Amino acid sequence: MQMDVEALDGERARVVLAGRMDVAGTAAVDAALTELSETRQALLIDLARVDFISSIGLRTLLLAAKRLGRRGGRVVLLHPAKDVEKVLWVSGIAELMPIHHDADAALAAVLA
Amino acid sequence: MPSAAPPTARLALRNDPSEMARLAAWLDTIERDWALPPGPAHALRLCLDEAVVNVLTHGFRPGQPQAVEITLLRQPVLTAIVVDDGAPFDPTACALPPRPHTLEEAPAGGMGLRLLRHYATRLTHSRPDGRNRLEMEFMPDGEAPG
Repeated sequence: MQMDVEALDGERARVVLAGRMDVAGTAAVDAALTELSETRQALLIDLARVDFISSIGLRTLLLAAKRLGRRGGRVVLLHPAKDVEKVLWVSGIAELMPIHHDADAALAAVLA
Repeated sequence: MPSAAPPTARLALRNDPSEMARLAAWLDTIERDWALPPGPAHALRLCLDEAVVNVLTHGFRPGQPQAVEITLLRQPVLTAIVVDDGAPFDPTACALPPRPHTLEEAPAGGMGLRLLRHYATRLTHSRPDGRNRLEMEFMPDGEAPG
């Protein structure tokens, strides 16, 4: 899978993921997402082009949010596709980090 | 309309994490050849990903030449049967961790089992011949309750 990172300011970044967040896809982005969660204060993760997520991908999102949360930071999720959002709810992840479908609202949440 | 597609398909995977990519590619072919509707196709991919990665991660000792065999049936209900000779494990019987309410208390594991039980409309485990046999059904509009 692909991952593009755009700095929002010195401490916050927008991460655009694309592809399948299955075992192989998650392995390709896990280290980079982990590093971002250790060095930034907040991450806006755009999931619009993620067409599949399984527990291995959920785990990567959850661990990034936990790492940031311990430092007072946060992960905000943007635009998950229908199937992906359903998995976020069934797994319980959706109750632990905000999900937005409006880019401006997501940006406001990550900059707050 | 009768389909010319074969009613069954089989795939054998080795005990190697790189085999997950082969599973994904195989499912791409099945989805196309069997013209699976999006709902069951998604549930099938998700549950097979969870079931197989669980076997490769927990059921086997690394480096041993053990195998996972997957059989798919198109009719009468889309069904996946996963057979492995790893450690005994019944994903229908073990307790799910409680749903976390905060990030701090959220465990990093247990989500795969929750997804498996939700997205398979029927899930049964048995141990014929000393092997795990997990059978998962995917109804056209179905997900398990809860």
